[in-house]
Amino acid sequence: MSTITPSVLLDGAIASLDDVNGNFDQLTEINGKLEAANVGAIDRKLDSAYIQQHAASGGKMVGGTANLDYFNGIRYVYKRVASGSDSEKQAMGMRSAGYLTYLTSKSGWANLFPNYRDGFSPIDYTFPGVGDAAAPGHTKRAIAIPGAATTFYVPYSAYVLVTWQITWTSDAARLGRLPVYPRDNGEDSNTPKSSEFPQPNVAIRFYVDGAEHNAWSTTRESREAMFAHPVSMRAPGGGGIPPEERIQKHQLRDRYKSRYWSGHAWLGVKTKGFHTVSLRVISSHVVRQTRVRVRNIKVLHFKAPE
Amino acid sequence: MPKYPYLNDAAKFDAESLNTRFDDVAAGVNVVTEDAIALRGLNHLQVPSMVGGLDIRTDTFTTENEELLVAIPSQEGNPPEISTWPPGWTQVDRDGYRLQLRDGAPHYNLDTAGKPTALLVFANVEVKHFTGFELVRSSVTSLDKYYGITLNEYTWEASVAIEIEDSAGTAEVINRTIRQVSPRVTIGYTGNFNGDDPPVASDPATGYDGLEGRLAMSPLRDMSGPDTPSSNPPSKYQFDWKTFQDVSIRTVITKDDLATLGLTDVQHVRMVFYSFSSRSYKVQRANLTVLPLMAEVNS
Repeated sequence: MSTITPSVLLDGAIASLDDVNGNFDQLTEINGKLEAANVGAIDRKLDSAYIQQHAASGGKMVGGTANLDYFNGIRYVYKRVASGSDSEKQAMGMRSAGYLTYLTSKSGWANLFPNYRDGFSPIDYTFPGVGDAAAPGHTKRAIAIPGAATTFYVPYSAYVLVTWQITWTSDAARLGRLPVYPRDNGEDSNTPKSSEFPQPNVAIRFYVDGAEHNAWSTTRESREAMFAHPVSMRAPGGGGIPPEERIQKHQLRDRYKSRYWSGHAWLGVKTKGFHTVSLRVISSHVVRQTRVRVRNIKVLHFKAPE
Repeated sequence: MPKYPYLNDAAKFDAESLNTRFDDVAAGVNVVTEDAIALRGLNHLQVPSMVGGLDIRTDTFTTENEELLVAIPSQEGNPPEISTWPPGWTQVDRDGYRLQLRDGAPHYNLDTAGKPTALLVFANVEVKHFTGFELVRSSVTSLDKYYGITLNEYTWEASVAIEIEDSAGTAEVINRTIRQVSPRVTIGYTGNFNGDDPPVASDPATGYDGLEGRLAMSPLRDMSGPDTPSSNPPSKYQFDWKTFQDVSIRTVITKDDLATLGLTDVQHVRMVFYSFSSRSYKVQRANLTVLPLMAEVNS
């Protein structure tokens, strides 16, 4: 509210109509638009007793308690061998490293995946899913998470701040033999190379009014969550073949590898009306299961200047 | 609040009379008194925005990470690496990590009537992974296949805090905002029970320039090693070494903080990084929001 400064009318002079009307018009400030200077000049604290609820700020929170599980539908990409010796079933040898490698060692990529072409990931090519969950461009594939998504109404132009708490884990794993140095030299052509062996990841991403807010700040990612102890185990066939290194059956290490995110986003000024915010989950298609535990998402709005 | 004096019959109505009436009302409105306000009387039409700067339309309240500083599996980025110590807390002079509240004076001193009295701070950053760990190979020839890395949960940590700088250029860390995370990796026995512990530098004659020996505890494995471990060095990709942890900081800065820290006002707010155990690490996906509030903070 502007400070009211009436024009002074001079005795004996003809009063200007504008001055008189202006003096009355200024009194319309009584109806509102207090400014910081006015509030500061009030002789007592202008506390919540005098302000209607939600007049200066407001908020909303939704939450959830359930475990939410998301599956990729390609459950047996990394199926272990079902038959054979215990060592074959229990451990991943360096050679028989995962179902894909097992299959391709029998058939070769070209037979197993008819659409396969050199230079493309066989998995990506066969299952046109999400290669990198943290990469932009999967807007339609990310799924809004119940308990971490809400519609809210702002009764006036308002600055909007959103905060949330969420935890998640997955069974993302890189099962196979080492795809990096020095494997690129002289290796079996049926063995996945690092460039063809995706780094499985899961991402939680933040959307506002149906569009991603900022993939480079309001996103959190997790990678592998299944690990194992290395062991020395006799190779299939046994006999005189010396024990070789194997990785025991991978187990989900969610005690260590689950992740939490207490995030926030400042949305700037949102216009009067309804808006939506949501956290959405997306995973690489080689991640079989992602478990999300939502705590809450909160929306706080602060009245913006007119 | 004064009332407008009614004009009575036969009363003199001249310039002075009008001026008096206007002045009385203006004075009453310009300095609203408690008795002029009914309980719950003010709605959003009357009250000002409690989010305030000296120019709330142009001041910046938030900053978010740049694409170039984020690495994802399908896109190489360049996340900042925190590795400079001593002397102390490290700044990252990029978007997402620091916020200049105003271009010029006057800056928020948090103690001026009618101006912001509190700064509400929200900061988030992702600790991507630690760097500088070493790979360990068994010094016992027959155990070459057992590898480890020196990363662990009890002597590695990353620390993040909020720093404020005043218009005189003095910067101070608010100690209560310090947050720490460990690598949060899986820890198990490596299967290597022989050799020096802690590991020692390898014999140059072996052609391996890493450490040799054993580790009592080391991150678990997610991949097998190469077929011929005796002739191939271990690789970090075999182990659990990525962390991807969110660090969140929430705090309210008031004039008391400025007094405690010996600062005059607030011109910059930053996320700053350190490691009390002198470890290096990479960070990304930062965003920082500072909300100047025209509200008194009651402790």
